[in-house]
Amino acid sequence: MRPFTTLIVLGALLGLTACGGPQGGDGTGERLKVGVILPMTGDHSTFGEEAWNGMQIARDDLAARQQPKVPWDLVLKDEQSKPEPAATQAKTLINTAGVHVIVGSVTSGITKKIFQECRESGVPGLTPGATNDTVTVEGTNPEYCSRICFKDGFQGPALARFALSQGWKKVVVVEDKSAPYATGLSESFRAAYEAAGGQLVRTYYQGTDTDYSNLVQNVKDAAAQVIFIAGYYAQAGLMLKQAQGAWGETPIIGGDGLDSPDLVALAGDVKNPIYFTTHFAADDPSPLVQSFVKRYTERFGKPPGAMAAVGHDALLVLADAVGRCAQPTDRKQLAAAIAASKAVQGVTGSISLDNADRTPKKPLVVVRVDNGFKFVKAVSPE
Amino acid sequence: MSDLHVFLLNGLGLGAIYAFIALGYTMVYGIIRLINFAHGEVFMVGAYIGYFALRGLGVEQMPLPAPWPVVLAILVALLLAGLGSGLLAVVVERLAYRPVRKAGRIAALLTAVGVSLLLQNLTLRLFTATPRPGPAAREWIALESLPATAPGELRVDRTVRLSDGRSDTDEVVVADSGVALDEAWRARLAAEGHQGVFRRVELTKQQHQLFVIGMLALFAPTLWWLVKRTRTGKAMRAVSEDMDAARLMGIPIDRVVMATFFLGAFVAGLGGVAYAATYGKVEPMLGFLPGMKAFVAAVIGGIGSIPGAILGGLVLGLVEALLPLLLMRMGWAEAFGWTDALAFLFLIVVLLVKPTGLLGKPLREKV
Amino acid sequence: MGSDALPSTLVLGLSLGPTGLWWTHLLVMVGMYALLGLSLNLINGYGRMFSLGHHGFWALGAYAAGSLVHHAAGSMPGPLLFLASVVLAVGVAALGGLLIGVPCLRLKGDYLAVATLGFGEILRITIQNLPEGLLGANIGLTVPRVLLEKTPETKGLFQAGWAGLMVVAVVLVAWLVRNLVTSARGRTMLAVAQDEVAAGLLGVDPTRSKVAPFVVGAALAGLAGALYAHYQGTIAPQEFTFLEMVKMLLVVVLGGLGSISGCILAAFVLLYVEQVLQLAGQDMLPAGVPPLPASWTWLAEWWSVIYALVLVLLMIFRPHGLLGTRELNDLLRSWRTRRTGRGTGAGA
Repeated sequence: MRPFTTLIVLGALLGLTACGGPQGGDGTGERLKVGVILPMTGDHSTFGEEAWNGMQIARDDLAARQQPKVPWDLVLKDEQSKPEPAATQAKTLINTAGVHVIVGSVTSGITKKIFQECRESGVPGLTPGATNDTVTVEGTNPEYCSRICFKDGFQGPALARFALSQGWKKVVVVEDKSAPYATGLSESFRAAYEAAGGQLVRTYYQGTDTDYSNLVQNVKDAAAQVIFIAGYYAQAGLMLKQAQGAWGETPIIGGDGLDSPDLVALAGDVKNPIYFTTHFAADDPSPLVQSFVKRYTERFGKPPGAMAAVGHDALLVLADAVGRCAQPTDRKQLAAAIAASKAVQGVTGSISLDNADRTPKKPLVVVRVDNGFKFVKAVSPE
Repeated sequence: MSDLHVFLLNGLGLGAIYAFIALGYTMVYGIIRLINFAHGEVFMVGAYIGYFALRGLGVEQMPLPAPWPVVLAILVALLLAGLGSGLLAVVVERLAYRPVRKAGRIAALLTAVGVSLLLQNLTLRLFTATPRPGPAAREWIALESLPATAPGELRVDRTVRLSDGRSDTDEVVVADSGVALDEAWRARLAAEGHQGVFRRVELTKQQHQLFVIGMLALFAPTLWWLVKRTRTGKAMRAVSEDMDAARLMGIPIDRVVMATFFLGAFVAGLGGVAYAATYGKVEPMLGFLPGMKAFVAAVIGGIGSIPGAILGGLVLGLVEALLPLLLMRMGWAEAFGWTDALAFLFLIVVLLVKPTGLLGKPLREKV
Repeated sequence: MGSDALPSTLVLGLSLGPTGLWWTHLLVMVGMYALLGLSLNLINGYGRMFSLGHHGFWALGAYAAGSLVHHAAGSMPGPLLFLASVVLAVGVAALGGLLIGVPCLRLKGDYLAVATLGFGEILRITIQNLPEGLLGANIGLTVPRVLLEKTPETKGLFQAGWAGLMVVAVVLVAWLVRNLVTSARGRTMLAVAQDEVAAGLLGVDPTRSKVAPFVVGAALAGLAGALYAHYQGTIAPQEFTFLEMVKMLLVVVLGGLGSISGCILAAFVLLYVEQVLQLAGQDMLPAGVPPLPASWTWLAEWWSVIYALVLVLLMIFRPHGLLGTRELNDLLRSWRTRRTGRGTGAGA
C-alpha cells in the first residue's frame, strides 16, 4: 500500500494550501477591470485580431472624452480558437484577476463556454460577435449575458428575403456541419425561405475538409439559381477556388462568417458574384462610420472588417452602461445596466439591449465582394 | 444527374495523392516496422517549400521563350520540395528514430507521434495557423509589355499575419488574368519600384488532378525500378527480409535505412506540393488527415508492398469519392458529412477482414 | 453576501479566495488527467498494448453522463441522478471497450494503435454530425448542475467539494489498478504482455487476457469522462481531440509505463506547468502560487513545441519513463538507504 501514503501526503499538502490565502470580497476598487477573451491564434485569428484593433480604437476615443467615468483596464486573453482554453481563461480572469466584466468571444461555441463561467460566477458577459440564438438565453441567470450583434434568427431570414427579392427562387445550401454558427444560420434561413415559397436543397461539409471536389459536383447538380454558403471564410474560399468554372456565374450568398479579406485571397479569381450579410460596410457614408474607417486605416494600415466594428461597439455599449451605474464595480448592477442599454449609437447601427434575449434588433448590411466589400443594401430583421 | 466520370476523376486524383504519401509509409514500415506518424508532416513541409519556391525564387523572370519560365519554375519547386522533405526525413531519422530503434515498438511509435506533433507546432509557430493560398505557378510580365487599354484590377498578393499580431505585407503584385493596365497604373508601379507584375496561371482542378495522376504514372515505375534493380534497392529488400542477416552480409544498415527515409519523403514532398496546389491551401495541419488516410491506404494495399501502396491509395480515393455518393443516392442526404468517418470505418473493416491488406505478405512473429 | 444565512460548514468554502480557487481547479484537472493516465496505463503500460483511442472512451463517458443529465434533469433527486449518470458512463464506456476490443485486440501493436485511433476519430465525427437536440452537436451539450448549483455564493464550496471528490476518485482508482495488476489475473496479463507466444504455449488465452484490461481501462476513462462533464457543465466535441490523447500519453510516459504514483506525479507536473505557462500567464498568478523563474517566460510562446520536444527527448533518453515501473516509494527508500550509507550495493 506504499503508493497511497505518498498519495495521501500529496493530497493533504494540496488540501492545506487550498485553504490558505483568503482574500476579502469585492472591495470598491476605483478601477474597472475588463477581461477580454478573443481568438488571437488558431482558426479564427483574423477575427480576434480585428476585434482587438477595433476595441483599441474605441478605448482611445472614449479616453479622449473622459469616458467611461471610472477608469478601466482591459486585460486581453487568447482562447486559441478552442473551447477548453476559453473556459480556463474565463476562470482565470474571474477568479484571479477579479474582473468586473468579460467581453468576448466572437464565435458561438466558444462564447457558450465563457458565458457559462460568467453566469455561474455572477460576472456580466458581453459578446461582440456570437450570433447563435441560444448563447444569451440558456442556463440559470442568463440575465448576465448580452451581445451587441444581431443573432442568426435575424440573419437567416434577412438573407432569405434578400435572395427572394433578387428573384432567386431555388437555392442550394452548403452547410458546415461542424460549426454551430453555420447550422443555426442555415436552419433560420431554411425556415424563412421555405415559408416564403422558395425551393431548397441542402449539402454538407466539415470545417476540417480540404477536398471539396464532391461537394462542388453536388452543388452543380442541384442546378439552383443561388448558392448559400453557411460557414466561415477559410472553407468558403477554398471551395470557391476548387469550384473554378464548375459553378458558372451562379450568385453566392452567405452570412457574416464570410466577412474576411482572406476569402478573396484564398478563392482567387471568382466569376460568381458574392453577396453576404454583415454588421457594417466600410463604404457606408455615415460620418460615424467614415471617421472610424479613416482612423482605423491610418492606425492599422488596412480597412476594418465587421469584427473590428463589433469589437469597437462592444466597448461603446460597455462604457455607456458604466455611465448609468451608481456603482459600476458591482457586477450585478453592471449586468443590469448593460441589459438596459438603449439606442447606443455605434458604427454597426443603433444598439438597444432592453429586450428578452438582450440582442439588438438593428438592420443588417448586405455587401458585395468587388475589389473590397461594397455596400448593396440594408435589410431590417423583421 | 452528374456524370460519374467527374467523381471518378476526383477519386483517382485524391487516390494518387494518397499513393504518393503511402509509398513512404510502406517503405519505412517494410524496412524497420515503424509507423512513421511524422510522414504526414513531412508531406506538409513539402507543400510549404513548394509554396515559397514558387513565389520567392523568381525563376519565372528568366529570359526564356514563352512556356519555359513557368515550366521551369514548377519543376524547380517540385525538386526543391522533394529534396527538402527528403533531407528533413533523414535528419529526423538520424536524431530521433535511430536512438530508439532498439527500445521497442511502443517507444518508437511514441517518438514518431512526438516528432509529428513537433513539426506541426513548429510550423504553426513559424507560419501561423492562417491558411495561405496554395502554390500556384505564375508568369512574369514586364511593365512595358503589359497590354494597355483599360484600367485593370491589381492587388498586393496577400497579407500574411505574423504570430506577434503584426502584419507583413508581401510585396508581390499580382494581376488577375486578362487584366490590362492604364498609364496611371504603370506610373504608380514604376514609382513603387516594380519592374513588372506576376499573373497567375490558372489551372482548373481537373487539370491539377490529371497532372497528379500523370506524375504518379511516371514515378511509380521509376521507384519500382529503383527498388528492384539497383544495389541500394536490393539492399533495402534484404534489410526488410531480415535485418540481422543483412548486417552479417555486410550491408550498411544505417545507410540503407536513411536512403529509404529519403526516398519515401522525396515522393511525399512532391505529393505535398501537388495536394496544396490542387486544393488551394497551405497550412500547418495540412498533413494530418491525408497522412492518416495514406497510412490507411498503405494498410489496405498491404503494408510493405510498393504496388500495394499505389493500389491502396487509389482504392481509398475511389471509396471516399464514390461511397458517400452511393449512400446519398440511396437517400442518405448527409452522407458527405461523414466521409472521414466512412474512411476510418473502411480501415477497421479491412484490418479485421484481411489484416495483411490486398497485396501484403503475412508478417510472422519471430519467437 | 448572505454568508450569515448559510450553515457554518459552508464558510470554509466561501473563504477560498483567488489562491484557493486556483489550487482547487488545478487539483481537479490534475485528478482528471491522473485518472486518464492510470486507466491508459492499464492498457499501454501494464498491458503493453498500444491504444491511441483513449480520448474516444473519455468522450463516450462524458457524453453518456452528460446526455442523461441533460435530458433527465429534474426527474429524480440530484445526487441520485449524479450516481446514475456515473454508472451509465462507466457502463457505456466499458461496452464500447468490449465492442472495440474483442475484434481489434486480435491485431498486433501498430495495427491496434491505428484501429483505435480510427475509432476515436469516428466517435468525434459522429457526435458532431448527430442532430443538435440529441448531443448538442458542435455547439456543445449543457450539463445541468445536479449536485450543487454553482453560484457566486457556493463557488468556493463547489470547488473545494470537487477537489475532494477528485482526490477520493484518484485514490480509489489507484487502489483498483494496483489490486488488478497484483492479482492472479493481473499477473497473467503481465505474462501475456511480456511474451504472447510463450503465454499461449502455457495455456493462457492471449486475446481474453488482453480484453479484460482493455475494457477496465475504457471503463475508467468513462468515469473520468463523467466527472469531466459534471465539473465543466458544458462539453463540446472539440475538447476530445487527438491532442488530448497525446497529453494522456505524455502523462503515462512521463510517469513511467506501469507506475501508479509516477502517473499521478506526472499529471501534476504537466498540468501545473501548463496552467502557469500557457493558459494564465505569469501576470495572472494569484498570491501563494509559486511562479516559474522569470527566465522561463519565453517558454509560454513555445509551449506547444516544447511539449512535443519533451515527448521525443523522453523517448530517446528514458524510453521507460522517468520512474520506469518503480513507484515513488521505492525511490524514496533507495534514496534513504543511500543517505544512511548502508545500501552501497543497492543496485544489485
